[in-house]
Amino acid sequence: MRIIIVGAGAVGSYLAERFSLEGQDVVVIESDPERAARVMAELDCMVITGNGASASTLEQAGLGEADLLVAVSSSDAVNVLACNAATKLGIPRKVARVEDPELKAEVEALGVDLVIDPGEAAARDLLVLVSSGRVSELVEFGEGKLVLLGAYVDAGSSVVGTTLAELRDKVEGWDWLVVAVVRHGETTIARGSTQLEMGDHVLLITRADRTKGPYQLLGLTDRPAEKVIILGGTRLARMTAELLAERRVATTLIESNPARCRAIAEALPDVVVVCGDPADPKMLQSEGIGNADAVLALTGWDGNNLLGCHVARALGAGEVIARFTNTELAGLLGGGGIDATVSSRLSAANEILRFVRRGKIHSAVTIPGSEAEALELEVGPRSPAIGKTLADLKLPRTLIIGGIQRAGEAFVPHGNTEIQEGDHLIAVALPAGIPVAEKLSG
Amino acid sequence: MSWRHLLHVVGAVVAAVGVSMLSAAVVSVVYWEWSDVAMIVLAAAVTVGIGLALWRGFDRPGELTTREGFAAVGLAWTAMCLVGALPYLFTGSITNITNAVFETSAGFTTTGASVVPDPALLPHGIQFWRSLTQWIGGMGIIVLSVAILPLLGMGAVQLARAESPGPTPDRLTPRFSETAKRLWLIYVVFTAIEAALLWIGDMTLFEAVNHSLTTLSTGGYSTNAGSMGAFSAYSQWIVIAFMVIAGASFSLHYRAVRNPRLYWKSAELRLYLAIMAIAATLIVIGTWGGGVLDVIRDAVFTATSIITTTGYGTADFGLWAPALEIMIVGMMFIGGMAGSTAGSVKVYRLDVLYEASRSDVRRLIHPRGVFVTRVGKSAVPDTIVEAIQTFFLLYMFAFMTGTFLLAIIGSTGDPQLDAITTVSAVASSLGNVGPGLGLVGPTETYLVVPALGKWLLAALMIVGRLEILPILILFNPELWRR
Repeated sequence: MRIIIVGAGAVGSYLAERFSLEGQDVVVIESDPERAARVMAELDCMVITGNGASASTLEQAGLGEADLLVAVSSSDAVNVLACNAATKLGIPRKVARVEDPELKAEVEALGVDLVIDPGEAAARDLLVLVSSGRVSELVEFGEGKLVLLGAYVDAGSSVVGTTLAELRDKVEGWDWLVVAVVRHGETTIARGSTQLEMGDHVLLITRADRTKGPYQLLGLTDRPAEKVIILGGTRLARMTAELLAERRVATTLIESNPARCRAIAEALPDVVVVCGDPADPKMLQSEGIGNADAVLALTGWDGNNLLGCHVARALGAGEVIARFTNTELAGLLGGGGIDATVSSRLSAANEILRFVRRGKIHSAVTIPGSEAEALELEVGPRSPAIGKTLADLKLPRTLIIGGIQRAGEAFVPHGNTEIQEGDHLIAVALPAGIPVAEKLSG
Repeated sequence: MSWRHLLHVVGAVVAAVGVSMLSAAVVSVVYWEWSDVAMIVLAAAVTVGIGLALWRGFDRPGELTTREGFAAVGLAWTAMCLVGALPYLFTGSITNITNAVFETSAGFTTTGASVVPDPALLPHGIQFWRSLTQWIGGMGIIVLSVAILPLLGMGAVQLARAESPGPTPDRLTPRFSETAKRLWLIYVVFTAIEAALLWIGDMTLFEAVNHSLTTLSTGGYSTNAGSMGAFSAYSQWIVIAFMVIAGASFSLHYRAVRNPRLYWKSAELRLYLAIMAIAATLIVIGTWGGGVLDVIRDAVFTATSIITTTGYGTADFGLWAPALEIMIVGMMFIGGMAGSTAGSVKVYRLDVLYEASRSDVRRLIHPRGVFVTRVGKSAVPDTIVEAIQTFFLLYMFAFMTGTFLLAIIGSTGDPQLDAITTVSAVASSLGNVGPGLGLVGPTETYLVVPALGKWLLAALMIVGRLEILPILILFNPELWRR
């Protein structure tokens, strides 16, 4: 599959990396020569330096043979023009990043399949995290019957030092599975012998109606947040505050720029806007940070967000979530007092991946700070896996199946669970495992 | 800035008032009151003469500056109230200059306070002139509030317009003279409809026209000593409906012609209707007994009449319980919507004052919180909030000072003015309502007020009508510096 990516910013280069690791033909168009050179040096893909909106550049990139155009430059106009050219050349699938909400419907009318706004995508991800209490990840699969949960192992947690096999024996009514552990930026697919350590980022799959067990074990609460404090007045902060206020969550937003405060206060009547330094402990205390269920550090500076999170944690806040513009930091700095991280780029990339995977693979989710992807795939009639048990399949170490949805029911499989036609498999895979997963679906 | 510029403008307004007197002469012709025809024409001639003399005698000012515009509005309104008294004096309908000027001021300011015990005894031409002064005053105030004051950066309607939902244009039409014409058209059409509906009922054509002139202007002069109480329930309900219309924003009416849903989107309109409903309910409770339908009609009528600052009466609220009397004085401080012909503080300003104080209370909980004062969904800029707070302060100051002065003057009268009379007379004059309580109650006249007191009240009517600042600026020495 040939994929053209316009714009090698954070979203574009992240997607380019993902796709090229999976063995797709990726062409990146970037106008900034320095950035173009960096992508060329780091990734196995073709890079063209030029204006992504120009038809001649697009033709040079081979737009005619492309299956997918992903226009994710920082300019709405360039993205729309690129999609327009793709429509004329009959490219089947087009994705555009458009931030102006007024343009969204018009761009969709142009025949663009997915219009994405990174801020909005991240705001929705934040909403999910806030409404589930101290988890780092929460994604639904199999019509909502199975969930992928992520959480960091705290210092005092009872699971530190135990292997997954021991853990399984310890808990009665076992119907959940740890699928992957992220440690020091490296992801390993879990096995029985994996020992949990402090600071590990644990990913597990469980039935949606049985989340209590894993929550208790990992020391999480499943109470949705009622009071949220947002640090910073960025676009993402504003969108998140709006979504929270719509759900009647008591939301306070702290921003240092008075003019910006005023603008936000005018736009969002149900949000309390406070003007002051978001990392000033006195002010945070006077705004009652100690009994806030969640604190979201969403300023435009990663350092400030890190600081804000630690101040909030020290003052007794419940769940603490930081936004990182640097996607690598998003993975590295999770844990150690920060319950979850978000990045608008990653959220956008996630949504794009989910769209691109549509077909055999029903949905896909990336995990911040990890190269692993969670996939939902359907077992087709020609699948080699039909009639075999999981143990028979001899899956590589880069792939694990953590959940099966079959005829309206969902469960966590054992080694001797037999795969049937029409099953929906929930898998977690490292990039090398993704082609294997695709084969399973037939 | 000099007097010469101002007098030029004032001359034009005076001449226009003189021309309008001729329509009263036409009414006299219709009723074969020939001696009145002569005297009214004479009054018109004198007035036009004075106006033209000022117009011609003083040079054309070119563009008026903001402060000159302010001052011109204040002076012109005062001059109208003086020359408008001429028809009363020339025909001998009112012989005393003080009384004639008081009656005219209560007319042009759409107050409706009267010194005429039984208007039905006046010649028809003069009765019509009395109603017409109110109608002209109402027309003037629409243009003043919708077109002139916003140009000078003040007036509640400018703020209220920002409140209208969606991307509405800042003005109704690009040209200011066109805006004025369209608003007048709405005003004229409503007047004609009301006159027709009243004529169908138990009113004569003459009564119907006069009452519609004084309803749409929220003036409240009646051709009958019993005010609206002398007419049928049908006529009273019609008048209630048109008082509510007149107390609502005329620019809202204009926009709603094309899109009636705008009425429901206006937060100010909803609040305005809610206030009247609550007031009427309280009056129903307070006056319960006897014919229930009559009680309800009297309550709704009184609430609408006072809150829209019209001032017609059906029930003698001078006889009501003290709590209701106090409530009536309080209602005199409400007024209709911004951009209506109603006087007093106005619902929009009251809403802003309430919201602003709520923000101040919330600021106690979040000391560094940023709170936006809003009416409906739209934010009100801080500068406007402050201007409204200042306006309210000045309004209350004028009320206090006026009450104090009238109390002193009233003590020289015979009979002496009691406290409730004094307080209600000042609140009513400043809010352009009309009747007060006690000795100036709905079945009484202002004849009991000593001459000096009448001048004071007339001045307060103009101060209240012009929303204080255009009058206050005349007393600021900086205005007169070159």
